[in-house]
Amino acid sequence: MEAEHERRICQRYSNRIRCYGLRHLRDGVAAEDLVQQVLLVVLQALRDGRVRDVDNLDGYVFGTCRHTVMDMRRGDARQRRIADESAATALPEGYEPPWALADRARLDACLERLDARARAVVLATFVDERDADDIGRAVGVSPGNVRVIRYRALAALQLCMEGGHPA
Amino acid sequence: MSECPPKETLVANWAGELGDEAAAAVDEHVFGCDACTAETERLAGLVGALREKIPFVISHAHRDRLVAAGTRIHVTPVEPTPDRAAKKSARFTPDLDLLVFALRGDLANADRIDVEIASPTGTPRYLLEDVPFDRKAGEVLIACQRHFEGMFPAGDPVFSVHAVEAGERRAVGDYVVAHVWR
Repeated sequence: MEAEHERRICQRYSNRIRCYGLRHLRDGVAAEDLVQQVLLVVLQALRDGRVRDVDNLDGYVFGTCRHTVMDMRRGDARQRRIADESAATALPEGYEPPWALADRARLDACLERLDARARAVVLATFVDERDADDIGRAVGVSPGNVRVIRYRALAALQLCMEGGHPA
Repeated sequence: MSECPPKETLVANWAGELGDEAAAAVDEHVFGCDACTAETERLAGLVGALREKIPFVISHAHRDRLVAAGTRIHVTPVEPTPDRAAKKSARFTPDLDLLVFALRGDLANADRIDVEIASPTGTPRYLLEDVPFDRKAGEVLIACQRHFEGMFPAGDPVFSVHAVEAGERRAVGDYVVAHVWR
């Protein structure tokens, strides 16, 4: 029963932690490490009765996630020690829900279907990490317009990637 | 944050445009919200794939990030190539992940740089507008990936660089590199 409960916890939080890691650490491997480290810390805390408000586990996992990311950024010794100590604690079998990787070839095809300006805005934002002010100056539109173009372009890309209408 | 943020806010968060406090509030909400988690997972998959994409032209910062992440890159500096017979060559040896051609020219007054990549026959031809460049170094970085082999069957492509300066378009130069794929 306990194993099943822990598996449900892992399945609820794995992808939430992964998304947080991808956004903050910008690296798929580091995000995967984050998933494992946070789950191990949370499960151990639950087993030891150290989670005060079990009904607010969302908050506890989120807090653990934030602190672990800060430690990972610092390459903190404490984080390595936790990882070492936690290595003895196995995560339950089948703990991870599926995580679909985007099809790169399809992404290229969908990007090609965007108009040139929308494609430039998307690539400048997420590949070159330029902000809306900078992109707006280069493309000749306001930062607000950059955000609108980017939002619409991402929606079109998602639809295209998921097999809906072409971008 | 008790109400779900609009999708525009989730996108802005992934673009890194929210302040620390606002971003933390969105992150915390997402953690406790199944609907926002589902939307965030869709965005994360797409943005993650975009971040790993290596475009034809990369910024110097992007090159540095790739190197820091362990990508094995060889950079070939290239001057304009009016005499095609005198072109430089670059070999894609097995120990490399990426060839980068640093196209050099006077970009000091450029507001924008466009690059056209064309086969000697004219087809295929790609027009890349407003590409990243380093004004101070006077360089545009072309990223050549191994799977590009065969993309230009008629021969090595010509990279034509144009600068837009105070509304005027100026040819910076044409560049050719002999690709040696093995």
